[in-house]
Amino acid sequence: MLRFAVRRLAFLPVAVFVILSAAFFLVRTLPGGPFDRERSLPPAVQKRVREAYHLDEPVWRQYVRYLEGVAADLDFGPSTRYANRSVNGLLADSLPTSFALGAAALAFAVLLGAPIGVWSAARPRGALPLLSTTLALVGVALPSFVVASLLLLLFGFVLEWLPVAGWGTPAHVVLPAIALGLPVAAVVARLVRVGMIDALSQDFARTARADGVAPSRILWRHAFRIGCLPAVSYLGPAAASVLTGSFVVEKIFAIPGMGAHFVNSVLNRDAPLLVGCAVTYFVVLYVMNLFSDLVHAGLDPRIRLR
Amino acid sequence: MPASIHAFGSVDAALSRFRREPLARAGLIVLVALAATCVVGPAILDRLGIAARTIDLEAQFEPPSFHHWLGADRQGRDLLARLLEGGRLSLAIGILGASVSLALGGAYGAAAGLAGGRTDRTMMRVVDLLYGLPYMVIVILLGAYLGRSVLVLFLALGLVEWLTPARIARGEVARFREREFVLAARALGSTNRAIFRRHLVRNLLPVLVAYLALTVPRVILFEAFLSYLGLGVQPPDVSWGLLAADGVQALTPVRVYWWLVLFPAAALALTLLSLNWVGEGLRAALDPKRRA
Repeated sequence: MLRFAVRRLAFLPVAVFVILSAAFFLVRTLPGGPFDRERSLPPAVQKRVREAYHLDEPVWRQYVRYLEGVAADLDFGPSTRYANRSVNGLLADSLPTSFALGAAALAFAVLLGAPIGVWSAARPRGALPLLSTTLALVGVALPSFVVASLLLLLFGFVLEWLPVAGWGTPAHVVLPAIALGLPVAAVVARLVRVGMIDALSQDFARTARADGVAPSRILWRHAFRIGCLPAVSYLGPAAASVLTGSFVVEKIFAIPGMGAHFVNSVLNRDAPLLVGCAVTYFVVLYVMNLFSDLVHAGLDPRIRLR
Repeated sequence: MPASIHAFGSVDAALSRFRREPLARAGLIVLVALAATCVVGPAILDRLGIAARTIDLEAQFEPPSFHHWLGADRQGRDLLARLLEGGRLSLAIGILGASVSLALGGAYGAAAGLAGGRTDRTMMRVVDLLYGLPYMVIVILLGAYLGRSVLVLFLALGLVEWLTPARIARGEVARFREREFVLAARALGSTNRAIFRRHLVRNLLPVLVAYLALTVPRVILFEAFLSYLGLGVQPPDVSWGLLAADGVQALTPVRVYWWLVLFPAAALALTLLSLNWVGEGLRAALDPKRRA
C-alpha cells in the first residue's frame, strides 16, 4: 500500500507539468490579450506594459520563462490583472478561506447524507424516503444559485438568524457551507443507500444476522464498511472541487475565496492566475483521489492496491 | 447471423423491470407531459394573444393574475409563455448536449477498451488529466472562437461532459473483451471494428442510454450556471436556467417577486428529478446482477 502511494505521488510532477502546459497554451490561444479591455493607453505606454510582462516575446519563450519560474522556486508569476500582485500571493490569500468553507461543507454533506442513506436502506418504508427525496430535490434538481439565494433570503433577511454576507466569524460559515454542501449531501445519500442495499444482501451480512449480531451493529460495523465505498469514490473528486471554492456561493455570500479566480482569470485572460488555479485544483484532486483509493483499501480487505 | 447476443438478457425483460419501478414510471409520464406542453403550449397561448416576447410595461412585475397566469417579469412579459419557450430550449440543450457527450465519450472509451494494453492505458490517462482541467476554459474558448450561439453551447456542454461516459464505455468494453462471444468472433476472423459494430454496440447502448438520462440534468444545470454568469443562452432567447437566474437577480429583501423564482425553479426541479428517476430506473432495470 505504501509502495502504491509512493508510486502514485511520483507521477504527480509529470501530471502537473501536463496540466500546467495545457492551461497555459489554452489561455494564450484565446483571442484577446490581458490588457485589451483597459482604457486605451498611449502606444508607448502599452508597449512598456507588454514588455514588463514579456508579452512581446513569442509564446514559446513566454512558456519556457514561466516553466523555469515554476520549476526553480514554485513561482507562478505576476497576475496580469491585479497590479503588483503575484499569483502565489493571491492564492495564499484565497485558498485558506475556500479550504475552511469547503471542509465545513464536506462535513455537513457527510453528516447529513450518510445517515439518511444508511437509514433509508435499512427501512425502505416510512418517513425517510420522503426526507431523502426532499434532499435530492434540493440538492440535485435546483441550480446552486437558487438554493443559495433562497437560504440567504430566508435565514439572513426574513428570520435574521445569520449574517447575510462576509467572512470572519463562525456564524459566517453556516449558510454558505449548507449551500455548498447540499448537492454533495444529496449524492452521498443516494450512493450510500445503493451501496448499503448491496452490502446488506451479501453473504457476510446474512452470516452476521444468523450469528445473532445486533441489527444496528450489522448496519454500522459490518455493512457500512462496504456500503460506503461508492460514496468514498465519489467524495474524492467532489472534495477537490468543494475545497477549491465555488464561484456562485462565493459571489452570493461575498466570500473572498478562490472560486472567483477560476472564472475571472479566464474572462480576464490572466494566464498566470489561471495556471495557478488549475495546478492548485489538480494537486488537490490528485491527493484526494489517492486518499480515496487508500480509504477503499483500508475498508475493504478484498481490495489490493498495486 | 444468429439473433443478437445481449449480456443483459432480452430488452423486453429489461423494459418490464423498468415498468415495475414506480418512480421511474412517474418520471417518464411527467417528462412526456412537460415536453408535450412545451411543444404545443406556445401555439395555444398564441391563439389567446399571449406571446413570450411581447413587452407590456403596464404589466411590469404583475403577480399571477387572470391575464398572466404565472405573473409577468420586469418587462411585463408573460412568464408562462416564457417558461414554455424556455423549456423547449432547456430540454433541447440537455438532450443534444448529453448526446454529444455520450457519442464522443462512448466512442473514445470503446476504442480504448477494444485496443487494450498500452494504448488503452495511455488513452485513459489522457481522460484522467482532462478531468483536472477547469471546464470554464473550454466553454469560453469555444465561445470565443465560434461565437455565442446556441449551437456552440450544445457543443461546449457536450465537450465538458464526455469524460465520465468515456470511463463507463471503457469499463463495459473491457468487461466484454474476454467474453466467449467476442473471442469466438475474433477466432472467426472479425476485425476490431466489426466486433464493435456487430457485438459491442448492442451491449453498450443500454448502459449509455441509462447514463444519458442522468447526463441531461447535469447539462441543463450547467447551462443554468452559465446563464447565471451571462455566458449561457443570450436574450432574447430564453431558457429555464436564464429565467431562474433573472428571478434570483430580481430577488431583494424589500420586494419579493416570488413567482419569478418559484415557477422557473419548479419547472427545473420537476424535470431534473424526473430525469434522475428515469435514469436510476433504467440503470436498475439493466443491472446484470438483477437479471432473472
